[in-house]
Amino acid sequence: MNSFVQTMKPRIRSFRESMYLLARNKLSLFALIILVILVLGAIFAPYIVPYPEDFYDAVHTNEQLLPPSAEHWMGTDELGRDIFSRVVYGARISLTAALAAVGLSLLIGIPLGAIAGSFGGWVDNVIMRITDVFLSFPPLLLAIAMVALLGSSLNNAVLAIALSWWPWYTRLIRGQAISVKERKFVQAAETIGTSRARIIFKHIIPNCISPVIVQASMDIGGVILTVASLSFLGLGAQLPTPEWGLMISTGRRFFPDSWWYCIFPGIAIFITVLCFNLLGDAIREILDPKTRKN
Amino acid sequence: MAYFEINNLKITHRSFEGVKTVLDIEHLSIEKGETYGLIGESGQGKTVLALAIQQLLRCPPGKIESGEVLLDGENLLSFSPKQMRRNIRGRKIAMIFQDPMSCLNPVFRVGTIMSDVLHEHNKGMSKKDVRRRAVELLEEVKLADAESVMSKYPHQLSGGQRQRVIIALALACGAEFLIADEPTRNLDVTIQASVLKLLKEIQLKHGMTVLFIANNMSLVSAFCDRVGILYGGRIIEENTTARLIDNPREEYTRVLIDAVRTGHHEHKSLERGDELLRVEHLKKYFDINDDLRHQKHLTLKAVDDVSFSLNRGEVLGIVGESGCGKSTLVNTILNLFEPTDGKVFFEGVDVFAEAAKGDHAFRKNVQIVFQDPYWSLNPRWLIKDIVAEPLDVYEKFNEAQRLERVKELLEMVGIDADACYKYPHEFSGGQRQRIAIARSLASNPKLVVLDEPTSSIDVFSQAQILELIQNLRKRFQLTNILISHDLGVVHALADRIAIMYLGKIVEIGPADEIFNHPRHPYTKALFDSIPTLDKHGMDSLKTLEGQIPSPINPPPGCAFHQRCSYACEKCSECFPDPTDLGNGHIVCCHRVHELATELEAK
Repeated sequence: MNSFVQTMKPRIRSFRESMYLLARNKLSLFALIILVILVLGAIFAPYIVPYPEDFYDAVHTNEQLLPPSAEHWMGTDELGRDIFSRVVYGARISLTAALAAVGLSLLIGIPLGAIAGSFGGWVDNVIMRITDVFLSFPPLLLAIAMVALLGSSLNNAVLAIALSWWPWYTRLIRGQAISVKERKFVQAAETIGTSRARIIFKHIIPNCISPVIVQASMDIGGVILTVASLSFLGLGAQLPTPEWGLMISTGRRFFPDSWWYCIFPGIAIFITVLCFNLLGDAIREILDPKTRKN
Repeated sequence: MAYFEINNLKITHRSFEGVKTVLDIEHLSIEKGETYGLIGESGQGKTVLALAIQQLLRCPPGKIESGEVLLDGENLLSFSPKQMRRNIRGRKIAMIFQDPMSCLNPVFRVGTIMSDVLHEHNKGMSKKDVRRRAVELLEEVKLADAESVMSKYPHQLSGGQRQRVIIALALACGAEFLIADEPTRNLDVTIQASVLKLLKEIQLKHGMTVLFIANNMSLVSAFCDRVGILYGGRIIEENTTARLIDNPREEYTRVLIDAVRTGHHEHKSLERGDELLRVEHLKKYFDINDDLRHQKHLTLKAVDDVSFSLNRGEVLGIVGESGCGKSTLVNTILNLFEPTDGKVFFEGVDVFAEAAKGDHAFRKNVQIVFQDPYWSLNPRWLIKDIVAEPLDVYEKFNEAQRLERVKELLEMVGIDADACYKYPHEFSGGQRQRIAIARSLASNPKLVVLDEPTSSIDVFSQAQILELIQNLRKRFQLTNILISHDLGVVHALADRIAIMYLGKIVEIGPADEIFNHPRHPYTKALFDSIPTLDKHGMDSLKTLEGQIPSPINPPPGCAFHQRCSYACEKCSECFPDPTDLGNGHIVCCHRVHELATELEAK
């Protein structure tokens, strides 16, 4: 009945139903499979790549800038390192960095947003004005400024991204919290005498988390891009880390003669970002029945 | 051949659980000019049918497997979407939806909405003519001051006015077949009666055929010629209205009928003890600053000087239209809202003074069961955590004790102990309400507020929930405040009744006395406008004219005087003092003594 008539009944989809929805959408299933391969590749990188010693500063003087071949699927770089091995290992760096940045922003953003939304009044005002300040800078510029302040390293880049990213989650959660706090179970908790903190963390946050999960899974793609951008500009990962953005930056000098040096890390970024966006769409479809297509 | 006919219509719905038949109607026919009532509770397929007739059903996931829908001999299901749009919808079939709030586009003025529809179906009509016709239509649905309604936005109209606009829209293109899908569902009882009367009048005037969809029997008995009962997608019983009510064949029909029969439930009173709760001159005002319209410091008097007391073991029913302040009153008593003025004593202790000192012990003793069991249980919690929420606040139990107590509570309300590890969505509305009741009893409260405890669950469960409440009251010597507009429920549970109008209690007294001899004109009008099975035909429904005044600017004196047919000069000057008629029956009306015989006679 539920899809015939929009009923306003809360429901959580069972795992089986989620899988049914996911399987119906071929594109998101494809994205999920690619991402699973990518994550497995990132975890087991040292055991599956042909040249694990090439991750950092190995030098093979007689194998410099070889084009793609059976031994080197994506060719080699100016130090003779296998680009395929480095791209696979790069997934580990990009994924960890992106997850850390998004996770950190969620950790800051969710409690602040929930507190702002459920308290209202001056608390809400103070928190939201602070987020407004952060939101009035372009995230990449803010991140660049912070890295310039903290010094260039991958960890600082992650920190900088998290600090420029959290206000989005705060706003999202706040909006949700304002509507969830009017729900009867929150009122019921109040009549029971449940404490304010418990209401916020046990009642309100779990019920406004869905859109944030959707947003976060889409943001992972964007954050991977930002990490790569910062590294490309020399503000993130430092040589000889096999970070995708950094590899493109170094490979630029040998373009277009040794095109494989730039192109393959670029394709890796492209596929990863695309898959995260598709996955975000799929998660939205599962968590939010209202936007479901038929 | 009948005017409208459905033969062997079968509709299925596809989901991850597989294919399910949601509608399977062998035969349904409606003669021209007839009013056919289709009754069923939510989930039985009423709306699916209404949508399928007009090809508005979303397919997929829905699928019309077989069958035909004949209107005037033509099969509607064989038409193309374009034909439906051009020739059928609006022109031949009009529909009135159940929610007048959401089916008028909020960004357009009423005039624009009306003209759009008129223009769409009368290409070439001049702008002036369209406008004139629109005003005519609005006048036909008895909207006072139709010209000014034309320039208003939907949100500026009351629910009743909006539903009238929708009826006018349905009339706009001269459709002869009207589908009314629970047209009065979200309206107040007093408004409901007048909308129904209007519908009937228009039907007779235009010779319309009406398919009236409703979820309970009481509306239908006054409105329809013939009735069909929809259950599980099938029409299980069909008969003329009077015969069906007098002589139902199916068990389900009988339950539906019993659910709306007032006084059907046996009333059991408990022995009354000493005073438990006393409310003295309670006021709750909301300050409203409307900067846009330069109106500052307005006060909305949601609860205005309310006093009553409640003895141990007693059930006080609070009855009134929506917006009369019943919920605000309860929320203020429960100290969820900061009171503006007045005192509440619980077991002789001043509740607000204690709360100001930071002591909320009172909350342990007072619990509430909400109307809607779908939203009153956190959908992401396990049942055991939901029921144990009060225990976590007031008791220091270890996990095993906690679980044991939860199981005990669930058993008390008739839910299996294995429910502990399930989520609320795995239960039906009635079961959820039981779980909500179990939670409200967890802290051993003395007073339980029941806010429309049965109004959003199916009729099968309603009677059982009432019975459960009765039993639990006896077992735990509970005192209750019951908020309800369902007179059957009030009749079954309440010992005393308070009638509220615009923030004030206008009449309070023993239930039997209020029911049989209401002494305030509003009480009388309220009871008369509620359709019951004993009222046949539209004439038996008394309507209360006019809108409920705004509590921001209430009329001076007795707020009811503008709608009261007995009002005298004095009524608009000052609010009447309470008159004690003995036996705790108190009425606030200037003419209470003069009207005694008059109200009795009607």
